[in-house]
Amino acid sequence: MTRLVRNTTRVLRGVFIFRLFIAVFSVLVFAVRWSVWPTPEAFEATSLVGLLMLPALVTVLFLFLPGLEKRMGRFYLPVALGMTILVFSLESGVAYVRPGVRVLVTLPYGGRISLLWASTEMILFTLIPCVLAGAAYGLRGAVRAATLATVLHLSLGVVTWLYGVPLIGFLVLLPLRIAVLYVFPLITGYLADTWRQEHVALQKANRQLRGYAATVEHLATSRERVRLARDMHDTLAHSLSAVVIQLEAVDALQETDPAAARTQLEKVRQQARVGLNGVRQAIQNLRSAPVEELGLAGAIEGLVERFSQRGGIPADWAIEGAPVPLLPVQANALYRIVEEALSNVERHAEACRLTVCLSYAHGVTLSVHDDGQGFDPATVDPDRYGLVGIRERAALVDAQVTVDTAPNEGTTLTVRIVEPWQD
Amino acid sequence: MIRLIITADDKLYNRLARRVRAEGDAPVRAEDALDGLERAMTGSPGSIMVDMALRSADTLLETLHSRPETTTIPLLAVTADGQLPFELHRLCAAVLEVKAL
Repeated sequence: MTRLVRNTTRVLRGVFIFRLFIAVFSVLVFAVRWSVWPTPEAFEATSLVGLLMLPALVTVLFLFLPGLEKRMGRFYLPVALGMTILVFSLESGVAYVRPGVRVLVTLPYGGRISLLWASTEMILFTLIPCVLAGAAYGLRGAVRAATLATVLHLSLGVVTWLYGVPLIGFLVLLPLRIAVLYVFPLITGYLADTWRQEHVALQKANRQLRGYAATVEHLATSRERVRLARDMHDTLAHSLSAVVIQLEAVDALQETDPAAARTQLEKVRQQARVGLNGVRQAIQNLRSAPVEELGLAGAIEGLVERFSQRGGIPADWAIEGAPVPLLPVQANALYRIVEEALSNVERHAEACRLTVCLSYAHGVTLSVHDDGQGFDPATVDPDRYGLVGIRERAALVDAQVTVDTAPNEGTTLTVRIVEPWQD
Repeated sequence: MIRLIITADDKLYNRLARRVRAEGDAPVRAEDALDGLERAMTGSPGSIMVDMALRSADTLLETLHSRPETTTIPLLAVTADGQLPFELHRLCAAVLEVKAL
C-alpha cells in the first residue's frame, strides 16, 4: 500500500512536469517557428489568470517540496490529489470563461496560439488525478475524486453564468464531462478493489500455509521423538532389563553353582553386546542426514570407512582442491551416488582395492574406482548395477556421469558438477 | 488446478488420480523422476505428489524444493507406512500413507 501511494505521488509529479513541459515546448516552438517570444503585451492577461497561477504554484510547491510527503504521512496523497484536481479544474474553467486568456501570442499572419488548453482538453488532465485516486483508494476514492472534480466544474459553470457568459455551451457538454470524470476512475477503482481483495486473500492463504508448515514441522519433530523413544525402549531398555535379571541369577548361582554362574555370566555379556549393537544402530538411524551433520567430505569418508570395514577391501579416500560450497540437494545427491556405487562394488565387482576421490579443481568431480572384474557396457543391461538410478540422480542436480569400464579392467565412475548451485 | 503425480505404479496413480478428480482438479502423471521434474518446471502444477518408492525420489524431492521454478509448489510425499526421514519430511507439506488413500 505504501509503495502504491508513493508511485501514485510520482505519477502526479510526472503529470505536472508534463504539463510544464508542454508549455515550455509551445513557447520554444513559437520562438523557433515564428520568432515570437511571449511578452506581457501579447498576453491577454486577466485577473482569472492570477486566480489560476496561485493554486498552481502552491500545488507545485506541495508536490515537490522535499520531506513534506514523509511529514504528512497518509494525508499527503489525498491533499495532493485534491489540489491537482482543483488546479486542472480551474485551468479548464478559466479557459472556458475567458477563451481570450488562452491566447499567448498573436502571430504575424494574424493567427493566435495559446499556452492554456481548451476547457475540454483540460478535462482529460483533470481525469488523471481522479483515475489515480481510484488506483490508490479503490471505488470510494474514485467516487470522491470524481465528485470533487464534478462539483468544481459545476461551480465554474455557475461562475461562468455570473460573469454573464451564456451557459448553453457549458450545459451541452456537461453530461459528457461528468460521464468522463466518473467512468474511468470508477473502472480503475473497481479493478484496484478487486486486486486488493485478491491480495488480501493471498496474504491470508500465505499465513495459513505458514501455519500448516509450522504444524507439519511440529508433527514431524514429535514423530521423530516418538520414534527415538520407541527405539530406546526396544533396544536399550530391553537389553538392560535382561542384563539386570540375568545378573540377579548370577548372584544367586555364584555360591551354589559357580559353573552355571559363569555360563549365565556369558549370557549376560552376549545380551549386553546385543544391546550395545542395538543402541549403535539406533544412533546410526538418528544420523539420517550425514551430509548435513558431517559435510559432504566427512560423510563420504564415513561411507568409505564403513565399506572397508564391512567387506575387508582396502579403500583410499582423497580430496583435491579447496572445497566449493554446494547446495544440500547437490551434496546429498553426490553422497547417495557414492552410497549406490559402493553397494555395486560390494555386490558385483570382486575388487581388491577401492579409490574414492572428491576433486574441487574444475567444479566438483567425484570418482569411484575399483580394480574389480569390470563389465562390457555394450552387453550389460543399462539398469544393471543401479546405473540408471545413479544417472537419474545426477541429472536431477545437473551433474554428468561417465562410466569407464571393460572386462577385467575395473570400473571408474565419475560424476561431475560443472556449475555448482549456490544460494 | 493441475496436480502432478509422480509414480511408476499404475495402481497408486489410479487411486491418487481418482481422489484428485473428486476434488475437481486435473491429475497429470510422470512415470520417473526426470519426467516429473520436467513436468513440474513446465506445467505449473498446484501441487506435486511424489511416490517415495520411486527410484531417486529423495533427490527428486530435494531438487523440487530447491529449484526456484518449483520451490513454492507444495510437495506431498506418498509412502507405504506414512513414515519419511526427518530431513525429507520437513520439505513436504504432508506425507500420505498409501493404505489410507
